[in-house]
Amino acid sequence: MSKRVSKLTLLAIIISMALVTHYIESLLPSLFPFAPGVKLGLANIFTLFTITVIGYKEGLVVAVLRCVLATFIGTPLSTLLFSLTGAICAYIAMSLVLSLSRGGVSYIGISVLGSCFHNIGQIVAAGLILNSVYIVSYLPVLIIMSLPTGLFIGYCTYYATKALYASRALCQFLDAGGQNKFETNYNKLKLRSKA
Amino acid sequence: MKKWDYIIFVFIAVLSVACFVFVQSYTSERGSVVVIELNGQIVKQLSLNEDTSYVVGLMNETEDYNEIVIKDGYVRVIESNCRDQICVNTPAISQVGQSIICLPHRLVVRIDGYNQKIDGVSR
Repeated sequence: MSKRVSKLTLLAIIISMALVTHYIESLLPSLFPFAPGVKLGLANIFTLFTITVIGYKEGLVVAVLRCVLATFIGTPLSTLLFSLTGAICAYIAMSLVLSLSRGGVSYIGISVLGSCFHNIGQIVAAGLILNSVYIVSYLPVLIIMSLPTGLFIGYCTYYATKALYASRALCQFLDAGGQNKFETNYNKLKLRSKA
Repeated sequence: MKKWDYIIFVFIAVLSVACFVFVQSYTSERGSVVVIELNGQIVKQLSLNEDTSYVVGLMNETEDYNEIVIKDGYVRVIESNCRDQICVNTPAISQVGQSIICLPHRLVVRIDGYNQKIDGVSR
């Protein structure tokens, strides 16, 4: 199997897993009843994973396609605009901090920043659509709640990546360059600088 | 944890405190008028001091509806057929500038102060 095809397959698997996670999460009741609208954002694990171990371009593809495809499995079309804005904001923030920090950041930091900007993006989109500035009163609680949710997502991604790295399960999907990148990025983003 | 992680944590803490102070600065005063907006247009204004309930939308089951209740100077949405139920789960509000949003129905319930113009319906 050519490496090009296998990378395409890998991305397809990641996107479908993200989609299913997104769907399952929408069935669960809210974890934080005191903070309406706050959810874990489990599907962000896959965007974060793709950005950190495969590449920025692929990360954008996963983030956008996940939102677009979610409309085919029951998410109403009106939600697409919010989730898309949120996902793209989170993607931009996470890629920026990843490229600017030069290894000075771990999965936790990237994930927390991502979930914070996901919320900001959604609020901005909602404010524009509702044509109302009053929605910003939701913002403080959403931003502070991005700390626990971002921590959780960061740890999930870290342990998933660790397991994948240890089992070498991704080797058959990535070419030599891709494997190298996976290894460097994984080592760079570990929770502690020294292994 | 690394250096940038701490920078990000501090950034988020500062950002949320700044947002909180900003929101507090215009929600500190008790309101008097409940303004109900649908699609960005005001559909109804009610007095916050009279206990009442109001249903936005039609009740013929296929239509979107939100039932808003004013009681003891607080407003909340007690029932809605929206899919996320965020409006129903939002705690009751009473301060100027606070709002309850129902995104799927494009509904904003917000509170205005005494100096706002009150229409004939609510007085």
